[in-house]
Amino acid sequence: MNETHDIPDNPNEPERYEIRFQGYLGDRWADGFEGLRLNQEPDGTSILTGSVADQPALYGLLRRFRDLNLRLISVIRLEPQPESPPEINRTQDGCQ
Amino acid sequence: MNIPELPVLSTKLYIPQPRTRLVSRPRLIERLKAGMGRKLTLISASAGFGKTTLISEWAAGCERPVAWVSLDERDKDSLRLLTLLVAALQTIEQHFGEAVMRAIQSQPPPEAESMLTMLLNEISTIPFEFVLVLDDYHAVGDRQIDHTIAFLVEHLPPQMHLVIATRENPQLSLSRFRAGGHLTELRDTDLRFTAGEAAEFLNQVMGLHLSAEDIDALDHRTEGWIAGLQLAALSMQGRKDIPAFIRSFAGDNRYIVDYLVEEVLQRQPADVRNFLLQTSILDRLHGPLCDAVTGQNEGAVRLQSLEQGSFFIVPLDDRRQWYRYHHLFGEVLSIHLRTDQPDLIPELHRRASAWYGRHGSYAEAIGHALAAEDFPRAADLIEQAWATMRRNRQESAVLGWIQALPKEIIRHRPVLSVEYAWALLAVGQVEGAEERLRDAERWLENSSLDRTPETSATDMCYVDEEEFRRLPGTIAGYRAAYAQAMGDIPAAITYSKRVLELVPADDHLRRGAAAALLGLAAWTSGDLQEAYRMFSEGMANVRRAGNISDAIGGSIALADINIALGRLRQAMDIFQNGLLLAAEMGTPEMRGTADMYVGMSELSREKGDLDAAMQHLHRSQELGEQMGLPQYPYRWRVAMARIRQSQGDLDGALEILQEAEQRYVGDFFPNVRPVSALKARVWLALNRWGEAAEWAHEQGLSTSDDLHYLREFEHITLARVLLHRHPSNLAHIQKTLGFLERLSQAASDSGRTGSQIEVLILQALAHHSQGDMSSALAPLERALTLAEPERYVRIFADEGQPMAALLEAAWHGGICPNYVRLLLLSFGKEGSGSAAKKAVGEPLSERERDVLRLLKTDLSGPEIARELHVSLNTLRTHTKNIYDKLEVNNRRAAVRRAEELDDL
Repeated sequence: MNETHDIPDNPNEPERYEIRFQGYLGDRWADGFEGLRLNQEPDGTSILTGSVADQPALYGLLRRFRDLNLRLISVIRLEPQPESPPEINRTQDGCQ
Repeated sequence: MNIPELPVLSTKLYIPQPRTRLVSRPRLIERLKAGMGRKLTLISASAGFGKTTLISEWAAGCERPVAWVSLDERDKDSLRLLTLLVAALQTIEQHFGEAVMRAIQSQPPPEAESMLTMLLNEISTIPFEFVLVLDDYHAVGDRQIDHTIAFLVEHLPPQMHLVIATRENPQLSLSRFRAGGHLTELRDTDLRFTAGEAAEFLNQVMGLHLSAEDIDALDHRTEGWIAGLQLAALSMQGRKDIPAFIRSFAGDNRYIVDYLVEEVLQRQPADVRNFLLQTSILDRLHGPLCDAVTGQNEGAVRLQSLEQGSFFIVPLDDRRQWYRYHHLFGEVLSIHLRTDQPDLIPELHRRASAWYGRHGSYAEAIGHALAAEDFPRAADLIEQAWATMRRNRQESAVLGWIQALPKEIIRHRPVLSVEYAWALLAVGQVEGAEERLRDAERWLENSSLDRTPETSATDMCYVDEEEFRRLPGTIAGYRAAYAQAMGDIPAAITYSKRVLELVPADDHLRRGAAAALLGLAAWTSGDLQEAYRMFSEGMANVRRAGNISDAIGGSIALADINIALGRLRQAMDIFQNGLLLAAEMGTPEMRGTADMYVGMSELSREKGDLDAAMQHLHRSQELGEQMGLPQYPYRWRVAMARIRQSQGDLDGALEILQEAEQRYVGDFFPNVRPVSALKARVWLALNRWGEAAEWAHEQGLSTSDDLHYLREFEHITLARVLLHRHPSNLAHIQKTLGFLERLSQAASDSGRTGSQIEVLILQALAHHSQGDMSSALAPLERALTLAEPERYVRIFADEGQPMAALLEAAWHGGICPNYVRLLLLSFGKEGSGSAAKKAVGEPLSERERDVLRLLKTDLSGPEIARELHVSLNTLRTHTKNIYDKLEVNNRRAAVRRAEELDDL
């Protein structure tokens, strides 16, 4: 079931996103973005990476950028994380 | 100490005053002024671009009156938004939209669109041009609200101009407005400070003496973003090394606000810094509230000095009692609080909750208790707020709070469990409600029995002893309402009786509701005397409880019951008292007023005054559907159809009845006069027997049915169908007479005089159709005797010519002579003559029946003529008469119609 790498089979599974925006946010902001990881890039932009529960959660996140007047550069959905062991996924599928 | 009430509404309508120290922006003001001729101004720009400041500067110099609404997330509800719009318009036009306001507050409220139309109509009567500003529209802009605003803009009366300030484009088909020249737009690029404006702001307004080079560097770093420049100015005040500061700021990639807030905070004394951070948990700032949260003094003074120091603090009223932080600034402050003093946050919320609780602002107190995760305190407060929330019907808010609590907390609180059940019932989630009620009952049972260790009293929690004591009655009340809604009448009766046993005499609302439920149940079962007794007792209690709108709504039921009892005068008094009651509440009219006029119209019609009947209907129409209760659209149409019928306009009556059928809603009242039966009666008057017979067949009506009040009107209608069908068939008439006798007995046994009069009239007509005048006069005399005291007219007059003949006979026989003379006079009027002619309808003659029988065969015309020994011409005359009487125009239709009639 998990052989397609395009769209996750289970629509309820959180998806991973990478959001790039202009400027750096201090560490104190990591909490403000629901545990997503903040990385500062050398070109003066930042990247926020992590799992987003669902699409409404993603839109809520984007709204925060709007409210802080942070300039968005890109929003990319990431492929399923390679480090999550495929065996476990398969076992889970088998149980269902 | 006199502490001002939390002025939620007025602060939302407050027009921010332009700052005294301000960069004037004539180029933008000019564009706003030029846009006044168009429908809409949209200021769509990111946070911190000075949208609000710009509009308030323009509003201060605007020659038109300005109404203002500052929106926030809590306004994301069409009804609430409408309330705010009306309240805002009331700031420029006193008494504006009071009728809309009442419509909004009635239960259930009319559809949003009908209230919007009402609002628009009222706007179009405002005698001057004005502006409405919706600030922070992004906070509410979702599909539903966008739809509401789109409708508003689409139908905007010319005297109104709308200004929307938002951080994101609303979904309003902007391109169409743009193309039509209806839209003025200001966006980020327009609002950014130009280099000149940046210089004016930094050097003149903020009093910094910066070089052109420094200004350029700041302008470049902030890209003209006003919030950024203002924060930069704040961080530079009192600084010696300004050029160095600008260099390091310009060379830094950090988020401007983050960088600058840190700079600003570092330069404040500890108490100011703590004040700023700790008060960032508050939506609104008020001196004493800030003191309670921070543990400092002189909060009010501090707020004023922050405002004077351009600290991103916005006053919410002219008296400078309430403020809020600029959203962006407040947000960043709260982020700093979270990293700098994380352990303190729950305590800060607890303090805020305590302050609000002391001042009776439950919503805020509960919000902060939940934020503090102090669930027992939140639960206490939710219980305390119950009475207020119930009165204001804010079940959704209560539901939100309770659902934020851990389940364990709720289960140990019987009062909270019942409050939960109430909120669930009120929003229609009935399944969960039953479980909550059972949870509560578990504690009630245990409190009277020996307590088991698992459920000892120490586990049980409630705030108000009185509320707890009343729980059994409260629970029975909710169970009764639920049973009634589900159509379980026996259960509704059982629980309502329990309520009356359990609830103290001074609890008018609960006793009233229970008595009214018992009244409804008695009405449904046909015991009208009991229904009247319980319902009037219930309504008196409801009125004593101050629930005027419900009392007016109950008038309809009371009057209907009286009409069935044959007490027209009393019914009229009830409607008139309903109007008086509404009038006591002042102008404008209350919802339900329109229904009073509809009821008065029906009574006027029955008394034969069709002009007055029409006037009442017009009056109710002027008030509008919004002033009517849920059944109004259907009741109005039925009343109109019956007037039309009395005027002889049968096709018109039928058309309106079709509409009435579509608009019918039950609204808890038994459907004792179904529209389909009214239609069948008009069909009979039109001689469309087939359709009337089909109706009786579909309803499964038969003369051998058990009689029940709920079907009485249909059964009387069935008798009419039968009498029309076989006017000359003695066996059929005898059978129908037997049925009428049973109906008459049932009506008489239960005191339903209104029904009894009609049945007696039909008995008289049936005998009359047999040419048996002496048998006819006995029931007629009885009917006249019952009807005379209440001066019924149309119940006789609508029967047309045969009734006129009967009444003449009665007059000659000296029966009720004065009343009969009055009735006979009414026959000349209102086209009832023609109606009467149509209503009687002519049965087929023996010869015509013979012809009809042969028309069913395959014989040709000349063959039929031969068979009957008549000329072809004579046969043509017979067939033409048959066609006319059957209302058809060809042989096949005549045969089909004849077969339909035979089915009966």
